[in-house]
Amino acid sequence: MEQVILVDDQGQRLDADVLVEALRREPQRILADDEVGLVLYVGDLNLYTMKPTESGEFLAAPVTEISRPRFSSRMLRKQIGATVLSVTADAVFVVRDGNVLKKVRAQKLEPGMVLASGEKVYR
Amino acid sequence: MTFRNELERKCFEVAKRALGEGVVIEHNKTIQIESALFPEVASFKGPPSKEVDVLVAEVLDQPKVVLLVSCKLLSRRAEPAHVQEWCAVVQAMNKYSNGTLYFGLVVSSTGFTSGCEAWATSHNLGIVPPIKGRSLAFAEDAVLRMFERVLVALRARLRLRFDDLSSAPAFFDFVYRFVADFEGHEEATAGGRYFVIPKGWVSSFGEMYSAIGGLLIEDLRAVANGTVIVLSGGSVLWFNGARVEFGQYSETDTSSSATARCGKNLDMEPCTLEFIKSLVVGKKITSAADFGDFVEFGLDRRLNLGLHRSGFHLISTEEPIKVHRL
Repeated sequence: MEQVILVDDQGQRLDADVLVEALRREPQRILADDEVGLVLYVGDLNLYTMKPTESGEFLAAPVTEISRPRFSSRMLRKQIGATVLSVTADAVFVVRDGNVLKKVRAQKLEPGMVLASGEKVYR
Repeated sequence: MTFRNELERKCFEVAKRALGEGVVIEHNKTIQIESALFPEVASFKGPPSKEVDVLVAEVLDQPKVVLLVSCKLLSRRAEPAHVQEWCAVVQAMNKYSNGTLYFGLVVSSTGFTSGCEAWATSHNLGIVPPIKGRSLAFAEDAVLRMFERVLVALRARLRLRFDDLSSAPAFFDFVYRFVADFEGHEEATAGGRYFVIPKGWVSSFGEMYSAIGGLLIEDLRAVANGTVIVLSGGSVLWFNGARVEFGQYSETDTSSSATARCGKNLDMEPCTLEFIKSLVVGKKITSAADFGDFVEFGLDRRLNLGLHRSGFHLISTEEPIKVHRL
């Protein structure tokens, strides 16, 4: 299951699994519940997801739907600088390659690469 | 009703199934605008107008929300020009609408080139299938299932709230959220060994164990084409050598109808089904393994119960082996 960090409008962290189990009892919120997975509408709850950036910081983005795919994207653990992140295999990072920048997917991110932010990939 | 191509016909049938009435196909519909001095409408001919083939789906009645779908049956992946053209059409329709909100969607059975995403994002257009981080071609059947999922979800979503989807890239993102998960699904289900019953959904080993781990065994049965474990909570697991099906119990499908060949201990000494039942009924499933020809479940961390196409085996996992023979 993809790691999702959810917080409310007060910045308090919420357990995504508990929230999904509670909200799925409200049928009007269910936008999809099929062989691919479950998607719930949460646009009225003022929730935010904390997305990791390539610099290791987190960016809060408002959430309108929570998706629970039955077969999610492969997750990888990457250490960038001093931070260890869980990212999907297709997450895109911007790395320095000589004098140019290029985009590299997490699954092709290798130790020794340096991100545009100056942080080094360790593993 | 006539159709330009097979994809258009299939998309129409999917839209009818998902949305009911209010779905029509229009061919050579003329879109006309007043000025062509914008890059988005470069494909419009002067006098600035354009003929398009469009699948029109009325998604919401009050307020009126209409989805304009372009069905692209191409030999290669759709290119930015195809998306750009639809951006112009939807933009023109919204600009000259009388209160109706139009959303645009492009369906291409062969997918999209990467340059399409920038146009779709900036003009709030949905694209099916998605452009993911790596190349992955989807079968036409999967593309149609994505289309249906988007339509059903869109109608449900618009009933809750619609205004926030009208500014870019909210609608693009909305569509993406409903189709992006197909990538993991298609990859995980390529083998087609595990299935959820009665829905018939393709599943995985992990999901199977999540569904049955911790449940208690209530009965073992041999049926005409496989073996069955009846579990607590109304669940059942059925194995026939090639498929493992699990889900809700159905008396008609799993009534005992065949003779089971049973064995015990590592040397598979013959035994009866009643003997195995006497040891496993009431035990909890604590592990699982799939060996291809048979599947095996750990019970209370001291027994291994194997399901074969035509019978069962039971082995004690306690040491020393000789002392714990069954």
